[in-house]
Amino acid sequence: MDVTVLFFASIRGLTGSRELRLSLGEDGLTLGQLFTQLADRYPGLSARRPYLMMAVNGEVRPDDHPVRDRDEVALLPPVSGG
Amino acid sequence: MFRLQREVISVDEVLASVRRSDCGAVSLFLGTVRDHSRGQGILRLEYEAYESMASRELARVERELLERWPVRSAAIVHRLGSMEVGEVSVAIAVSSAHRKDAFQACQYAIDRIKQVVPIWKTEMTQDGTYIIEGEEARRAGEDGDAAEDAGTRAPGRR
Repeated sequence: MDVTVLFFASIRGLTGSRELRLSLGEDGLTLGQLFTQLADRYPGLSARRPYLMMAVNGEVRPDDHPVRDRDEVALLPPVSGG
Repeated sequence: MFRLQREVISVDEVLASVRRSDCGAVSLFLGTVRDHSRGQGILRLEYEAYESMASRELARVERELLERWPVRSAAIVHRLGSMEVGEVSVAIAVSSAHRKDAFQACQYAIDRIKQVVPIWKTEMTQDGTYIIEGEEARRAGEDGDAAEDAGTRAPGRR
């Protein structure tokens, strides 16, 4: 299963990139489980979890949402547009 | 009409896009870059976005206001990239037969944009660069720093 993860604002600074392409062996991974894998990879990310929403293909989804092949996942800090 | 763009926003164009002969009222909101924030002087702002989702959310906001009020036309334009003090970062125009609906729908639009659209502001100040996330200002380039309270709604409060 191939997934793209997008990082914005302070999360971009924390991970050092705008985008990560992941090849994950398992199907039926949840968004929460995906986040855990990202947190293992990026120190400091798990501390930000309470402040983040996660979107799949442009829609905010809960932790138990299943991630599918070719999904685009985004980590969204609290917004500050307008 | 809704749009994200990097170019300077033409307020005339935004207004012209909603003018209709069956409307007696046009409401306009401009978000402009202020010269201070959190007690510091602003040098410039930068806006970034999750563009594909932000476009869809702007479309959603426009749809919501058209559904909730009897307004005839709306335009929402948000600028991205770097901009100076005094420049327009967002423009919203709404036209309706009568003024009450135009006022209310326009206010709704900016309030809603501030809640749901994946756009983030970074402030370049004399004191450094701060990424604004909701109520917090995170100093850029320093991981693991405790977030400072942006205090954007209460000037002088830290």
